[in-house]
Amino acid sequence: MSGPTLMTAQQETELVDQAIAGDRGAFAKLYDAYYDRVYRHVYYRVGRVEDAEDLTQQIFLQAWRGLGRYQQTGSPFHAWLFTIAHNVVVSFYRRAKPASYLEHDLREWRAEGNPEREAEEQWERERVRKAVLRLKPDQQQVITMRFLEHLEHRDIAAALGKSEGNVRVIQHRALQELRRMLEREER
Amino acid sequence: MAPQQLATLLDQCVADITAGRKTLVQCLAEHPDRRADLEPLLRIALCIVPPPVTPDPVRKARARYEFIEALHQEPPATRPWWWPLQSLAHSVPQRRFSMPIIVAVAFAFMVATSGGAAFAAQDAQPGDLLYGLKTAIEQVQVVTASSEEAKAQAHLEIAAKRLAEVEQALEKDNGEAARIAAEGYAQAVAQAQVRIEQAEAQGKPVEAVLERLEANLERQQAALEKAAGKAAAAAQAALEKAGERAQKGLRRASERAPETGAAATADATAQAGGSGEAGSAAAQADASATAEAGVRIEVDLTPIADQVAALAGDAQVSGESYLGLKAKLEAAAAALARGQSQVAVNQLTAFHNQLEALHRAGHISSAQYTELLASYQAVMQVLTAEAQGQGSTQGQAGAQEGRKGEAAAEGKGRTEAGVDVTVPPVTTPELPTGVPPTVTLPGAAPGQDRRPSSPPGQDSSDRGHSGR
Repeated sequence: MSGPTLMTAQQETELVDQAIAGDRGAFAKLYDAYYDRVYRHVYYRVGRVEDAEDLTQQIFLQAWRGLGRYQQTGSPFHAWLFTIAHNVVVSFYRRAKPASYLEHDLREWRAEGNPEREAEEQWERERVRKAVLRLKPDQQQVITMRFLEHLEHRDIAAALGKSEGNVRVIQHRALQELRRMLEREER
Repeated sequence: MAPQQLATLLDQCVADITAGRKTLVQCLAEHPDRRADLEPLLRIALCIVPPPVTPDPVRKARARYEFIEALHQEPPATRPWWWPLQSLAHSVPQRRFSMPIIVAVAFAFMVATSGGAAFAAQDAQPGDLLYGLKTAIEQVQVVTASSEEAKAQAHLEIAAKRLAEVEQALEKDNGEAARIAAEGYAQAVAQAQVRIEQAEAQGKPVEAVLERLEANLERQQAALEKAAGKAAAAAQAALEKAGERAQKGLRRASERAPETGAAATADATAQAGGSGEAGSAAAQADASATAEAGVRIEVDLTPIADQVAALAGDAQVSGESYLGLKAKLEAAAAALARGQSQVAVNQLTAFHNQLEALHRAGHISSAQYTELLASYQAVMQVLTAEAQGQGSTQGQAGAQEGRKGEAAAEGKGRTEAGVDVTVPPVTTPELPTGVPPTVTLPGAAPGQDRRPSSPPGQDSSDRGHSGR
């Protein structure tokens, strides 16, 4: 499964090399290439436009500050970017009023087909989203990197410094936990 | 079913469904015996999708503007000094150590061996335990280099070492070591390139560094042929990438060569003004450059240099803010003295960008900003007018070439030395009442600047800070 790519791996690597060498223009290109994707990811996890905008800015600034430590050990830059996104979001959760981010519903869901089915899908996606947000941080990270961003297991593993097998186990446990949460709600 | 098998099956189904190869019903129908476990997990996984939102374009543009501003206030990204030691961590199989542990162990090892480790590391090859130490020592040489050209040289020396390692690895048919060394080579060339560009922007001589780069390229070609012969594809790809980058840099340098040549032949004289001390901003401020042709571009930088110097006496202006402006002004003055008008324009544009940033951040008062902006615009106006005047003269002389008036129409001037001067757009933020209207220079076109002049949707009144 491959995620949506906005630039080739080679282009990404070249820009990252230039940015690490101090080229701010190259980093601005990376910002342009990944802004929307990071924004959507954050919006999914915090549910408010204003928070998503602020956090997205923070993520890119932190990425610039930490770029010198970015390890090109098989983890693509954007996978590394989502690990920063996760840390920033988790830090936001800690600062926010307890679980206040769960109060916001995303209203943008849409589905093909008749309005009845559309409403049903919206409701289901929102229910799953709220459940995802209640997962433990490491599970939430793997689930969002895998299903929201369509990153490969090996890339997630490289970005998180875990083995692929470990990532698969976390993913499986997270899905089982989601299943339990959703079934409990239905009772 | 084992969890591992279920997870693999789930991944396959999600991949097939999201790619449109199968439907949920088809996937479940193919695995009837696993349906009970698979279906609920699959339905959940398929519900985790990014929301179909796009950021509001106006807010996004504003965010980008603010981000770029913030980025310019940040120090450049650099590898931590211990970075190359990372490879030590990766040399130890199946175990990850934290960096402080690696550094402590490396240090203890070096002390215990009285520098013998560093000596032994000199011959380390990619994949060897001491290779990380070798590259760490090399980075220290870069860090301690005193100027951009020296840093570029240090990077090129590292590049040459990597190239030698590529050759040795290819001799030994060690494709993995060749790949690691080739990637190190590509990275060193990229870093050298950035340093060369920065040195050029500061008007420093880079001929020696470019020669070295060219020499590396010749040697690299030989390594590339050897890599092709040995079918070391990864090393070949990294070498090609580095070669493209180096050649691009050399091409750019050769395009700029007339300017450098002009600088070398121009009889540039810096007439001291202000304090009269060479090397100070005031001393370089009243610089005038005289070229062989005897046509002068005179730009009096004394007023603006005095204003910048006055910032030093203001306790509320941080030293860093003042020094940044001073450095850019000095670089512009030095470039003018060398006859490098375009470099001067670039430095003055950087000066203007920093001025805007300082004002927005409230580091300088509105009065200081207004004064400095007016002086900056006056300098740019003179510089442009001089350049265009000479461009026009040349255009008249070369009427048969049909160049008359072109320079003015395009916002380009031509210096006495035949150097094109491209004046970037000058933004004219709304000034407080009572301030003389700003001058929009010819050739100013929206969107040419590297940064937006103001964030879309942001009222100029947002930007004015009294500062204090």
